[in-house]
Amino acid sequence: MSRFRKIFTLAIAILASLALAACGGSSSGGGESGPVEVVTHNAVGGGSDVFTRQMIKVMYDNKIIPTQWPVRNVPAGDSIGAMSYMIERKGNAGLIAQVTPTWLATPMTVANAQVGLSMLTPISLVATEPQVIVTNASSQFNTFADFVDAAKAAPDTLVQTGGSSTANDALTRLVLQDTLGAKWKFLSFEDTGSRITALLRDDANIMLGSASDVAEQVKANQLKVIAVVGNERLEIFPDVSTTVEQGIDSANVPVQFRAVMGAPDMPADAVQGYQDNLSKMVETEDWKTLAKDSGLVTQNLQDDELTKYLQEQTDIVGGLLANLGLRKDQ
Amino acid sequence: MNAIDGLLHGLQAAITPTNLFWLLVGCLLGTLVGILPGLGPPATIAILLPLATGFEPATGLIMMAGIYYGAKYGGSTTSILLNIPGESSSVVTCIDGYEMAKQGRAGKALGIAAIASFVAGTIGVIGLTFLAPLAADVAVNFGPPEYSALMLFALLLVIMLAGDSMLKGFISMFIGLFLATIGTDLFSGEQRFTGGQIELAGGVEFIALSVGIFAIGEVLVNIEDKTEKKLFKVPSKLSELLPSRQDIKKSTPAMLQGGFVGFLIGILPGAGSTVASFVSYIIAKRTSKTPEEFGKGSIEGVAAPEAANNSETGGAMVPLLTMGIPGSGTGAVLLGALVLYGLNPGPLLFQEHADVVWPIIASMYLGNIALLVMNLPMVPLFAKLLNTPYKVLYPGILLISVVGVFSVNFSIFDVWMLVVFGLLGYAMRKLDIPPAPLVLAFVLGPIAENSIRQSLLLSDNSPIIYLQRPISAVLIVLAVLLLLALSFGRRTRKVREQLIDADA
Repeated sequence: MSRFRKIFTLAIAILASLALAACGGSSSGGGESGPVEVVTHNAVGGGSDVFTRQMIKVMYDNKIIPTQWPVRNVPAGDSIGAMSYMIERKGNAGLIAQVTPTWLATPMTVANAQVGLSMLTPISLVATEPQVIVTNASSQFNTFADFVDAAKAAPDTLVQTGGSSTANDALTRLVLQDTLGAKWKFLSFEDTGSRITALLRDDANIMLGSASDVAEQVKANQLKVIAVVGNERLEIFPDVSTTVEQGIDSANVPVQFRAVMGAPDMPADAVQGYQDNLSKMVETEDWKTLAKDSGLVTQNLQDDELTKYLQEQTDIVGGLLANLGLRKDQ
Repeated sequence: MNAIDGLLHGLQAAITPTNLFWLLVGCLLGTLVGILPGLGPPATIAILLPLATGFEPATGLIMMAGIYYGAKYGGSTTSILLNIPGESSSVVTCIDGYEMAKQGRAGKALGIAAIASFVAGTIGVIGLTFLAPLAADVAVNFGPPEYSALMLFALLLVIMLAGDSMLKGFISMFIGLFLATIGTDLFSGEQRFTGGQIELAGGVEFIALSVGIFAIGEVLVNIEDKTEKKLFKVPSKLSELLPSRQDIKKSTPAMLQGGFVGFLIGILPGAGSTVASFVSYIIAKRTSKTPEEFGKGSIEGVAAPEAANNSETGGAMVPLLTMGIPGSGTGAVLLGALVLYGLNPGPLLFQEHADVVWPIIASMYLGNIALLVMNLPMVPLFAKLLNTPYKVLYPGILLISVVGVFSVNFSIFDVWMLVVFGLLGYAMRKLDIPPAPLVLAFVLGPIAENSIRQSLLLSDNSPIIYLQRPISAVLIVLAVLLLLALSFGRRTRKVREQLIDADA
């Protein structure tokens, strides 16, 4: 009898310590420059999570950092949880986050969020990730301009598939519809996979997304890219023209960016240390390959340039959300 | 490379000492984290990612896949022993599994769960090996109208889980559907029923809900009894702790059926294992020679959902490996791992990286054997744990529940939700309202809502879209037939009788 009680107690102890190990496993860091922890607002396997891990791997493989920095996933509240985690650890020199425009937008849509991107310490805007516009490979549209013409001819019949209404692709649609005077529908799915199958089934006509989301389907000849949003062609799709080349004004489109920011009040020498690491990283061959394959445009904006860029994006996104009636922070 | 060649090459590559070692490590870790609710395969794989990305891709992915399906084996343990469903696909296992445990048949339930997992897990991998391209086609053609129809069908089936009272089944289901609406609306970005709580913006945490309603509710009801007598009778003979030959024979149709249903439904991203588990439970009940035992400790009622739950793994790997589309949380993590290895999951993965894909598939055959060998000897040990007096058992259940729920998001808010749902589970038991429809409706609700709204957006609000597409039309017809059966069948008379009783 008591033997089984012991076994049971032991089993609970093992299970409990396993859970504790899980907490410990992702919070302890190490290395010469002190423990560093990198926060992402995605669950494991999400786009931001994978990019964060890729970035750390490039730095580690190129001996820029001595240990693989652990990643902490804080998916609660779509960046609010992650931001709160940073803000609670004010002044921490070892706490950085990989930040995307979601970190700008989400706090604006919540009343009394009490967190915001401006509270974090800017370090570097590593890269921008221009959106590409894709269709089914057998689609009649060969450029985005074709699509816009068709949308003008038959308003509200064509379908763009994408994420939630506050996501970057949805906001981009609003800007484009406004500037072009065309209208089309927006079909939301939670995950990229469902958006791709919607294109393959011809339930939707176009999708806006990052190049890395669709590169394999394009290679397999299932999807085709009809434009890159912005004014710069992508190395991965060198033959695809930009929206600007196609005569479409896309200056006010919100840009998908990947930045690194630190905990509030991070000491200046720590900020400098991370900036140096990232500046070295973007010069490595591994990074260049990663950037090319993922359709990233290296920026490495720091200090004043970064602050200015973030302010511009804040204004664009804030204005769009206000027009949607989703702005709750004012 | 055809499937047979691929599989043989894969086996050759998988049977190296290194690969076999990490396969066993993965299966063992998977079993362990499957037993503990909360810390699931995604979190475990995440912790191991920095280590695993140092391995060869095939080795790392073999281990990670082992964690994935190993957790499915472990998932039934707490469902059967403690009424704690660690994941949505184990909810149905609680119904008959925990009943069996209360009757002192926990060992038989655990044993049949392991055997069914093995049989069906293998069926799933066979499906993955030979039907992947065909299955991928089905997955692509399953759009919003098809999902809407499937969810309509599934929600009707959920009511059939209700037991005697259809009315109470409806009540339970509607509470579940309501709870599922809490959170941020996908289409408008509006917060619904969150009361301004940021923690609720992403919706109610599933583990807090299911563990609260099932496990905490059960503990609260039993604490009221204040008896010193033991809750569970545990036989002392080893032979009585494992399923008998006759048990296995009786459960075989349920296992095979669960294996096929699990693979077929598992192909569909999103709905997968949960829908598979209770669809196969209902089929088992309908085709059983002893349907009256279901809900009261039927061994087939454990075999069918556990089978479906495990063969789903093979099904879920289909969209992941053929299209680069993850069907579940764990699928997303495996996808991330593929990317970190530089393998670019997509339609060309099978062609470009056959040297990685086939060893993973081959290792799943081996892993299933390893898991059976690992799990069966643990069965008597686990079964005897129930000899523990309730003074130790209940604090134990509470501790596991709290640790499990906390470890999902490291959130105290979730622990408070656990308390709230524990009280709800208690109230439901007092009112004799079945908990399973609530929990399942909570899982299916968002899929149903989103797909209905997506369909209507495509058709400009015309419901004809559901009949224009063949798969959805067939499912709608099935649902209508089911509804007719429910309305005019034997059960309706019972409901009417209850209503008359209530009036009297």
